[in-house]
Amino acid sequence: MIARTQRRTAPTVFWVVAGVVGALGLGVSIWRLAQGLGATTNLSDAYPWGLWIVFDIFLIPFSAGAFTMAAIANIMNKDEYHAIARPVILAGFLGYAGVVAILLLDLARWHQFYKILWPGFWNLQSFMLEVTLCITLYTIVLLLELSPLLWERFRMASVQRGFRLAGAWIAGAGIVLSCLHQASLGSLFLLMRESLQGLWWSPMLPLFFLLSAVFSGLAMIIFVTVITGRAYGYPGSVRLLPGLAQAAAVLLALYGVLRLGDLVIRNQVGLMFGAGSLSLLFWGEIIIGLVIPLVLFALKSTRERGAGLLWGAICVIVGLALNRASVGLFALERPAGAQYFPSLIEFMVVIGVLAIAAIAYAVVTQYLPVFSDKAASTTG
Amino acid sequence: MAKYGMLTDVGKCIGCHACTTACKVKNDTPEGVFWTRVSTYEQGTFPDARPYTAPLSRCMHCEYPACVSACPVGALGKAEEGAVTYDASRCVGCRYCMAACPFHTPQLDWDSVLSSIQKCQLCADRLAADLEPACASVCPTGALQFGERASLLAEARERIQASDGQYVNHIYGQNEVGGTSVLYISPVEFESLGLSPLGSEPLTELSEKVAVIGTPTIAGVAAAVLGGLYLFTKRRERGKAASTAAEDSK
Ligand code: SF4
Ligand code: SF4
Repeated sequence: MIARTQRRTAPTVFWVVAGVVGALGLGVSIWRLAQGLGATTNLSDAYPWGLWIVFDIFLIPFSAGAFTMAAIANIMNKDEYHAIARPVILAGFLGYAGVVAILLLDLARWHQFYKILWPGFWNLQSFMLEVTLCITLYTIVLLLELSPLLWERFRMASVQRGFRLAGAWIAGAGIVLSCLHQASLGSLFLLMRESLQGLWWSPMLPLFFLLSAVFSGLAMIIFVTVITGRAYGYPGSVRLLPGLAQAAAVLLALYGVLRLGDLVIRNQVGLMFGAGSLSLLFWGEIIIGLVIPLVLFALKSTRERGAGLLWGAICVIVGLALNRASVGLFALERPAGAQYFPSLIEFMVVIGVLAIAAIAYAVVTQYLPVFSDKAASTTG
Repeated sequence: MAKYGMLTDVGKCIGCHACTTACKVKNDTPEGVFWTRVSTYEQGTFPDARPYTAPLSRCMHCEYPACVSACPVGALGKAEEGAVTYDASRCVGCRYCMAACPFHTPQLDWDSVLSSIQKCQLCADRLAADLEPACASVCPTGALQFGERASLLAEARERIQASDGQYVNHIYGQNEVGGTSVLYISPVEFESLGLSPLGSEPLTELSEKVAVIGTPTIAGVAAAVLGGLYLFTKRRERGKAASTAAEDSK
């Protein structure tokens, strides 16, 4: 009896909390556009980038689950993965939509944002350009990959057939775009040789960002599948996850070797111990984001259990957040004496975006055949 | 075409703020925003402390400007004569230029609703009319001197020599991040003035190389690997289908 009322109240609490937080986020976003950055954020000349940029460069690799999934399901023709592809691609799309929204809010001159889409203005050497264009295109690709949900729901057979033919091409375009912008996010910081601390600045940044996006994407797939499996009582395809965890372990190991080797070659090993709080941050990232999940995913006994998978995935995601926060904020040298802590509005926007994404996820999964077993025939 | 520059002699600045004012008037900058401003730095400890003044933390007009390389929409540009200029009508306000500048000099007028980047333009419009930048034209002591970069470098070297060891034997900006149009000479350590030591290779080289070579490489490799995998798995499947069909017919 008690269990049943709990089951009924939990969703109501979710709707109320997410609804309120989402509405507040929307409200302060409009306020931010109307009032300007100075009035609403704690950004300054010393800290031109803050929470929003960190959130973007974290959410993009986190949402990489969609591209990793597409690669496995479509290109390698591993049909069994189609069953878990849709929830992941939906989560990925919502992640990218959130990134686009926050990017727009972050633009001081948002009224001219369309100029970045105009080829006549393009500076092809700017990674900000490449990242923006790729993200815009990729969000459209994700929308296309999700569109079979609609064709299926409304039984538009001919469109459905057309999409089945185009599926591999769309997925392929998405994968190329993803590789490009995940790497370019790292390249954004190549210019900051003098200000980004030596534990993080490296000419290999694009490769590091790409690699970490792929294993974080795998972690996101594991996370989303385990969580949705629990929340919706949908068995998911949890048996597919150990394979993904094993792949993640290989990539984590490769990433660790490259990071370490890079520090040795660039002669920065001393910073691992002698840079005060930044050294601590570095070790936090390595231990939480690399060592622990590597062990959890490498051992057969843990990667074949729900808890082992879930904790491994959470550690990877926390490690990713630490890494991106270091590169985008903590390890960037700023003028002496300058300080930054995000304003309430900056936090509210981020939390609001997450709440709206959660609502959208719940609504879409309720009304469209996201967990349909027929998924196998239509995502690709 | 002549490459222009500006020599700032910290030892000659008397802190009169004439340049601060001239710049503010000429460029009509927003309240609280200064493209150039005289700052005071104390050197030594009481009672032997001595203040030094100079127009610092202004755009250095780099030879290889990171800000220009960073800007997605070409709102920043480097003129052949040296000036790094800004066009607000293109700018989207991403502030990558601010994050990328090794001297942390571009500012934003945060108090506006639609803020724009605020930085020294080396009075590019006055240069076009054969006039010196406003700040240099009013400096009474020669602490700010405008001219061709090459002759300013020679002048700077002379002044250092003539100072008999009083000046630091270094021209800040000659080689920093590939050289800058604005140069500093000083009787006090540059670092204490907020001019940190920087490497001499341009910041833009690696990033631009990766942009020109890396981007198409990643796209090409990704596409090739994908295509290959796709064909491979398709063929294997067809093979499998064929063999099962053969078995079936047996
Ligand atoms: S000092 Fe900064 S703003 Fe000025 S040209 Fe160099 S990179 Fe650009
Ligand atoms: S803030 Fe404006 S000028 Fe600076 S990089 Fe972005 S678009 Fe270019």
